[in-house]
Amino acid sequence: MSWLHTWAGLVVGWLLFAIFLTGTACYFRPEISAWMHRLAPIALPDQPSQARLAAAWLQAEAPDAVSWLIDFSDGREPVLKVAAGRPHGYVAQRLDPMTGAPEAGPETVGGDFLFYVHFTLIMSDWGRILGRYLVGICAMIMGVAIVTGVIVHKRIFKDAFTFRPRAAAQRAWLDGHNLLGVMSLPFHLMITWSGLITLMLLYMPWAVDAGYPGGRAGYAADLDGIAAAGAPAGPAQPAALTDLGQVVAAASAAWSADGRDIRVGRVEVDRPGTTAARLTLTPQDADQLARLPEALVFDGTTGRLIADGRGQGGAAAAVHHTLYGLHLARFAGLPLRWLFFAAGLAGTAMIATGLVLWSVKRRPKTGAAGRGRGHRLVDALNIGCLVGLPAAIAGQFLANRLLPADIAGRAVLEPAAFYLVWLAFLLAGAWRSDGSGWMRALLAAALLWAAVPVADVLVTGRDPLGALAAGDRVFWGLQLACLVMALALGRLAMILRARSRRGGAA
Amino acid sequence: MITLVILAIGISAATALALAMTRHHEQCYGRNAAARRQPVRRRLEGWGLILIAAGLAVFTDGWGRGLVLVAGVVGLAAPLAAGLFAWRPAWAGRVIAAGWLAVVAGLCGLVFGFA
Repeated sequence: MSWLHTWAGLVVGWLLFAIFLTGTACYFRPEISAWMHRLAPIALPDQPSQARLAAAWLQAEAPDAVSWLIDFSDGREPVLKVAAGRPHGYVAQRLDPMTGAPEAGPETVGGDFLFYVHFTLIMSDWGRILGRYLVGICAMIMGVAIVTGVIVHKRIFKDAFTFRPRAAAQRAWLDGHNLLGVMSLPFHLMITWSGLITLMLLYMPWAVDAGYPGGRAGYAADLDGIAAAGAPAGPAQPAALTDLGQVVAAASAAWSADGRDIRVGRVEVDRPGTTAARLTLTPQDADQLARLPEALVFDGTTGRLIADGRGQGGAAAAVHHTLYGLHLARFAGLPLRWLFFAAGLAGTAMIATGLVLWSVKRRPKTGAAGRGRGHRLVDALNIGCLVGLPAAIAGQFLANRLLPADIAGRAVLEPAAFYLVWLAFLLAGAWRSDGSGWMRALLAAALLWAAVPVADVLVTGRDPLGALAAGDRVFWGLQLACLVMALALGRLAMILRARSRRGGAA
Repeated sequence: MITLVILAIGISAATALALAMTRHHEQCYGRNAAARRQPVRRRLEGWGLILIAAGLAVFTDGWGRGLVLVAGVVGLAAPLAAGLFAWRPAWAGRVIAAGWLAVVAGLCGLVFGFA
């Protein structure tokens, strides 16, 4: 068991670290997006008027589309996202919710990049399926590592609160690894399992395929508690679309009938501009833990309610929605989201301490020969990933602020900055993987994080005190988060320096 | 605001549970402090504080979010308590007392509607 835990953890540890780190950052994906798109906080207009703006833009830009999607903001990122599916392609746009015009400002990937790295490891077409499979394999092995970790930790209750930072290196790292692993165990189990659930149709599609011989549409309809859309009778004639504002207001009122306050999250328009048009509305994820299966379907020409999914879904759908909701944590208000973030950081640190522990445990005794080739490889990868990945996120933020606003392909250059910084740290780790290599890498990462708030203020010309008066939570949240990262990494570098001066090793 | 109160109660609960164990009790009060050792009382106190925190969370946030909140708070409080015994063991008694103050503050908040 101990062998299995050690090697399972080592084989996927670096990828798991990347998955956990980017996933933890994604709890604040809307805020990161708002920061990268340079959006100032606004009071959002009511949803019906936003829906009319979105419909007007789609009507002008994509009248021939087979389907439209309108995603409303949950209040964290002031943007209205619209998309249109055409037979020959797909167009997506971010609109200003006040005016309905496409968002001004420099092109950027926003928080979506970290989101896609989290479950595909790379943001490109060819990595789409392969990356998801890799992440799934990592998650399965993470499950193995969690279970074996509990089994090999014999003194799990006796050592419950034990942490000896001043003891010998191996003891200190092991204490830290155990503490982070055991105390957030419910979170680690939940996040690993629910993460697999989010992509279960890719990993294990056979049960759904057997249960729904008619295809995935029936499955999706059951999740929403509505009947699958049948084929329209006869050819569709052109017809004007009903007023979306009224439909959105009606749906919100229907969901909020029992005293809850539930907004509309998404409007799907099938075959807009024809007599066969159907509107499917689903509630906002942010307003409830499990998005209950309660979609509402309206006729697209008359605005009449034609299908009501409220209270229709079964227990299986409720379980799926609960696990999915727990993984994304969109239901969480600000304090609870910070707790999720802290738990995610604990998971990230647990993986990091485990990887460091592998190396510390096998450190050659004084006077013995130096490290073997495998040992040097692990150390190099530890520096390249455990320090390089946090630095790479800072590199991406810096690229967002420092690249000229009108440069071509800006949205490709930001991810490129991420990968380049990561590569630089991997090379630096390969070059020097001993204590001084660690120290320099940590110091470089700390400087990168410290540069982000400075570049932010210099480039956007935002006045920090003015932002405080205006209650700009996103600005201050990111400023402070970057400073905390810089201080933490810098502190680690100083601890290492003090230890190396004393002649000991970390 | 109530989340901070619940977090404070969670930290003191974890500290009380740790103080019920011989090793951490010695860290806090020294080797020969057997007279002050009341493991059963400390354990009851710890679990009681967790129950109170859970009650507050469920009362203010409903069953779904409330239970998620308590799981998160306890998962964060336990490593913090371990850090307390590693770096500032002498403060353990004070932290537990602060937890009971937080309980009072939380209940006052509920009664007078500050939450």
